[in-house]
Amino acid sequence: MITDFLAELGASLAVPVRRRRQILAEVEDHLLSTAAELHAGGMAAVDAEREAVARFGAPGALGRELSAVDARRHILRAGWSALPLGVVAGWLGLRGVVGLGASLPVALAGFVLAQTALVAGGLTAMRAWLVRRGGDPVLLVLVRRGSTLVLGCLLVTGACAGLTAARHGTQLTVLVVGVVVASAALLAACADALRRARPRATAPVRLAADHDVLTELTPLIGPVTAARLGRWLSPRHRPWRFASAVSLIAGLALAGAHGLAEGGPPDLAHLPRAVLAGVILGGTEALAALGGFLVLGRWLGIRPARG
Amino acid sequence: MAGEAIKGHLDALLLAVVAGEPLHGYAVVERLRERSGGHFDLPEGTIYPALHRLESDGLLTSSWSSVGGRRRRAYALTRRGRRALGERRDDWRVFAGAVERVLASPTGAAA
Repeated sequence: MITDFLAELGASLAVPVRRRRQILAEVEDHLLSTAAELHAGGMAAVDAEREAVARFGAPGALGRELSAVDARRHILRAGWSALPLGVVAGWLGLRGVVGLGASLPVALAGFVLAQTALVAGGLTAMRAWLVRRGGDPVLLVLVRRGSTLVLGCLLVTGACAGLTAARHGTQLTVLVVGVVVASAALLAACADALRRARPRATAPVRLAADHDVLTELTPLIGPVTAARLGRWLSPRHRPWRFASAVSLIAGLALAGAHGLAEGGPPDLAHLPRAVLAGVILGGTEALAALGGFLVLGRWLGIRPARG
Repeated sequence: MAGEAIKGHLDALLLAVVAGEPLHGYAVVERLRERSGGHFDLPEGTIYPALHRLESDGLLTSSWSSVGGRRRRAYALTRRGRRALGERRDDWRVFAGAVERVLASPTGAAA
């Protein structure tokens, strides 16, 4: 009786072999303990086993639930690594591709992917944290998407940075080699976690039609602030205002950072040129942010899904 | 009925049950049944997904031992788990107090 139950449970588990062994050992211990107690209370051994199995519940449903918990663990693990991987992708894209003077298309790709990775990495880590704090498990879908996107961005920016560095004969410092090795290990761990979660991540989980990033932030910033913010910058009700504001802030931030990094114009005569450079850089950034919102906004759950 | 009612509170109940000492799954179910006066008599397997999730969230930790030739896994509360239990107790008191006030009010009785 117990053996049959364990066989059925084992067949419904979609988890790694070691995990499966642990789960089956744990359940077997529980069932044998129950049966032993019932038997000690005067029940026949066969009836005690039957009762123990009946009390435990349906093995198929339990197996699916335990598999979902295991998938959740892997997806969250990938989600945690998305932030450091996004930072590395951002650094590689901005410093290793754009900063080393790659050709225009490659530099543009590095510029866009770096920021995509930074935004996706930050959002994904925040969502992983929210889920772990008891937030809506539907966010796991977005954690998985975000981690996958960051992985893709890192692979492309890494390849672009490697090619650019090779073309320019750039000397690699110990720090750079260390970062590359550490991020490669993290990338492998993240990819492995996503691979392990894959068979169970296709659960019929759908985002609510009105889901946007502001609804996720509500537990963090409070319902009053979220409602106040939503009146002005709701990605759901005012997507274009939201996108324009974020793009403008990003553009101004980059132009300002560039000005600071360059130390400002040497004299007043160079001011118009410096301002023009800032406008071009800031404008490119704003356009990239707007493009990212258009192309990836729905997929990353920043604005509501269509229909 | 109890099974449905318990769903939203299972995590807090499990944390409370293992707060005293490390317990294995069977003992968790027994303790839950005892401490609820037999009211929480849910299908025993339902506690395992919750225990595993709480462990993966760092609120519980588990260790294996050998008892009578069988491998046994016992769960214990972590420091984060103890903190989470405190928060959930506070939340529950506020919630239960609010429900009690509504149900006990004369308007509620009339309705």
